[in-house]
Amino acid sequence: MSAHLEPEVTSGEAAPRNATGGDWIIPVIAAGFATYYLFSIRDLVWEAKIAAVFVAVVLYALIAVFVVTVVVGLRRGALRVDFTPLWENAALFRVRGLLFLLAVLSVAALPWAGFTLSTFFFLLASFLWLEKMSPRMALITAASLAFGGYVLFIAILRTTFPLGPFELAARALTGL
Amino acid sequence: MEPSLGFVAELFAHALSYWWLILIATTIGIIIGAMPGFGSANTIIMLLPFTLAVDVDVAMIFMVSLFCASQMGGGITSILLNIPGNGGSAATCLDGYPMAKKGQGQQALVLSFVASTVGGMVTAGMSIFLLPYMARLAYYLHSVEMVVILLFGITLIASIASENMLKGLIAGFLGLLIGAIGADHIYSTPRGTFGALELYDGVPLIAVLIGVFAISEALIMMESRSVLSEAGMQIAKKAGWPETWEGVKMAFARWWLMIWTGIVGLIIGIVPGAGASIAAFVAYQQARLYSKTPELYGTGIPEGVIAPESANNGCASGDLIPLLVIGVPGGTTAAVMLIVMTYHGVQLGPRMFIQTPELGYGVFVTMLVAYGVMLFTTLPLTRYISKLILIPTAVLAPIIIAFTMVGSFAPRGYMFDLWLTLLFGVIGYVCRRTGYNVVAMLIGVILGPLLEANVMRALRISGNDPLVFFSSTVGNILWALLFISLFIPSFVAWRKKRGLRPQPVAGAVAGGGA
Repeated sequence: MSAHLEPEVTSGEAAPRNATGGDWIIPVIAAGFATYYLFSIRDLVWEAKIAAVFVAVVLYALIAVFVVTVVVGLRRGALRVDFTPLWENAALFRVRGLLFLLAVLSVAALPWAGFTLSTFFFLLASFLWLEKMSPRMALITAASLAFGGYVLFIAILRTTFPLGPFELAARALTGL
Repeated sequence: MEPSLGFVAELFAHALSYWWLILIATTIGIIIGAMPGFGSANTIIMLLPFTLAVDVDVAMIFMVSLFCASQMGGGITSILLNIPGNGGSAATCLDGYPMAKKGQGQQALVLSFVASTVGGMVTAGMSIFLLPYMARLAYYLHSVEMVVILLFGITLIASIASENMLKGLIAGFLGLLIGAIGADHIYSTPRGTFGALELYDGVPLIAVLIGVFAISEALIMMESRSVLSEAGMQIAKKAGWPETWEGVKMAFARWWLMIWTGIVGLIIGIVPGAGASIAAFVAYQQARLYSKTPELYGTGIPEGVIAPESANNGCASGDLIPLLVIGVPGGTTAAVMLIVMTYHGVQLGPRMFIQTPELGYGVFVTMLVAYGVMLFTTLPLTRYISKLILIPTAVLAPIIIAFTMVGSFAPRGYMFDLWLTLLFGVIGYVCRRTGYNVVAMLIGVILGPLLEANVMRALRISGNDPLVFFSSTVGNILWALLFISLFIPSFVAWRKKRGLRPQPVAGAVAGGGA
């Protein structure tokens, strides 16, 4: 599943070493969240916190086993510290970062642009910058998909998205 | 209370006369089943004006058909995009997506449809005749047993879905803790909410599902131009009718697997709250356990698609049994059905089978008809649906993000849920890149509230005695099985490692000793 599990290619006879580093993030998040959670329930009655305390204790125990495994692996030389598997290479990181940034911008624009326009601009920008589609093709594809989304999710399924200029104009014209 | 064959045939003819309604309901069901966030329960709620206005038997035909179809539809995106349409199809990703990547997406879809149909039909047929006896199963499982079953479920998923069991367990228990966010069930005190009012009802499951599966998958898939390998692309481009028949043959060559995994789903479905996600994983694990080639599971084999799909459709039948027999819904959709039936003045429980037996048994007869209709409408479409993954990833990924985000907004209408989805997208991405299983995390989030509710209930009943969790025979057997399931994989790995270690050559040893 992940590149970090791939053994390091070495020229000598030494045993291959797996990367560790990126896989510390989830245990750190888990330990931090468990601590915060336990703090947030400190004043509650016993019944209201017993299940969460049990889960948090098991989680701490699992993280402790993970830490021991990593420390032993590093000391024995079976593991090496390497964070690059998280982003693989700079070019791919830029592409993923751009896609995520566009998604964040489209969510931020949703309250005033509405579903149809924010989806249209998100798709248009993605097709132009990520797929390097011709502007005409990108425009037609993004417009068709955004309009299809409007018909399905807003006109038929009545999803209560904030209304933008397109939805307001469509409502004024069609009465829907 | 037991129905005669003539009575069942009469019900069958009645259900069949509504084929047009079943066709509409199954089409809607398959579409919403394939869309994360648009579950059958939400859709039935949206269509309440219709189900409340028509006669109760027509309403039941519509709801049951839609429910079965949504179970079947969930497998489509699991196979083609690695994004489960619902919790019950999360296990289908394990082998369905690798099959699609190899260019066998069409065969995988056919396997999924045929297994869903066979699993659903066999269990619906069984339910008709075993209804009164099977409902008693639910009486043996109280909150103590449910706690062990839920913990068993999470450890099982962590061990089967992950390459590294420790990381799978960390992801699963983190999911359980995330699932415990929100107001507690008894005192309504907010816990772990970071002060956000939107989290008082708990973490929205759909936002987690879409974040950890859809958003993270969209980010991951950007690493290559296509989801398919080069060879897979050539195979997928040529896919046509022969591939559909190949899928049908593959499925029926494993007919026994379809039947018994469907029954596993039925039994688990009867337990209120256990749900299709546990049923699918248990069936997958059992199929792997009894397989002659367990090491091939997870690499894209037909058995890995058949087992979870048959089980989650078997679970659909099981979900409805406690609803009809004791008036306790086995799942969310069954709960919505309960509301509709109560509105129409139907009295659920044993009395229903005396006063209106045609309604109780009619539910399962409708299932038989609905599955038949679905198979003949979906099979010809697989060759077109499977072409979805031929779209370049740079086009597919933004479309996935744009349209799945709708699903995370739709159930509650909060902008907060969209931001939460993006946050879980990042967490899902880190999990995938570093070997933490996102399926285990999702199942943890689903089971977290159930675990908590059952722990609290058991403690209240026992007067806060923690030993209550070891007070039942069924529970203790389940505890023993849980610990065995935790240690067996480590023991097998240790033995394998030991077996691979180079053995000292007899002569060398002798020489050394000399």
